[in-house]
Amino acid sequence: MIDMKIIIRKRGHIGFPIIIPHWLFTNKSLIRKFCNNQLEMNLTEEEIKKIAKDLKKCKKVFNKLELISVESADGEIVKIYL
Amino acid sequence: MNNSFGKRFTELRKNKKMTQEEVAEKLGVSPQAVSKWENDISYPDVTLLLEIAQMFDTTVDFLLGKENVAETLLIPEEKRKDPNLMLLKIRVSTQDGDKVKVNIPLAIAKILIASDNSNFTFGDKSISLKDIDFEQLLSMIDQGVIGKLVELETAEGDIVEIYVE
Repeated sequence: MIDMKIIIRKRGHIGFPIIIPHWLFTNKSLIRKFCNNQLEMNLTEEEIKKIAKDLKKCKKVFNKLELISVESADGEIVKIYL
Repeated sequence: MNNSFGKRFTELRKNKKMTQEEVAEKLGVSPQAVSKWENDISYPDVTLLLEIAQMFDTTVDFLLGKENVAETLLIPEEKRKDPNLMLLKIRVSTQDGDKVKVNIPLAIAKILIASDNSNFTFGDKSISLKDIDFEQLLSMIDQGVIGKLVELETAEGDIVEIYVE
């Protein structure tokens, strides 16, 4: 399975991709830490389990989905592909 | 969004649970021709585009890669797409020229909205989407509404659009 890719590029510079293995971003413990600690989302264990399951499913259905794309006015680009 | 015609075609065919042979038979072409379309080696005749769009319950615009469904449509129950194959798309364009695109698979969006954590903020100006009733939007989607669901312009000139496709 292809991994999650984060691309960061600044105007006039060569962008570089950060590859995140699929087993890492579908890891329940990491989802819990990221969502509940970093984003203060207070997801329940049931919701975390469902997100991990759905992420795996979405990865198969929407392969190379552009999850997030941010383009700033000064030319910085951040893209996250699932 | 799949960028090539072939990828979009393949996705639509799989959504309809059809084989390349079945598509070929319906369109009166060879299965090899369908295989070539899906691999972006060749493209269907322009006269077939409408027939393909109707077969897959989509639009010629979508087949040709137009990103957003500009209009809002109510799809009859028997023609609705599997919600697990749908995307909730949020587009934010700020007055400063920043552009944010978020494509969330509907299955995941439902979990986030149900957990009452749909407080998305963008940038320093904190364009908050918490005032948008996402539960109401999900209810509309469940009833078969697709396309552009929300378009709003803030007092600062920022534009927020929400689509489901």
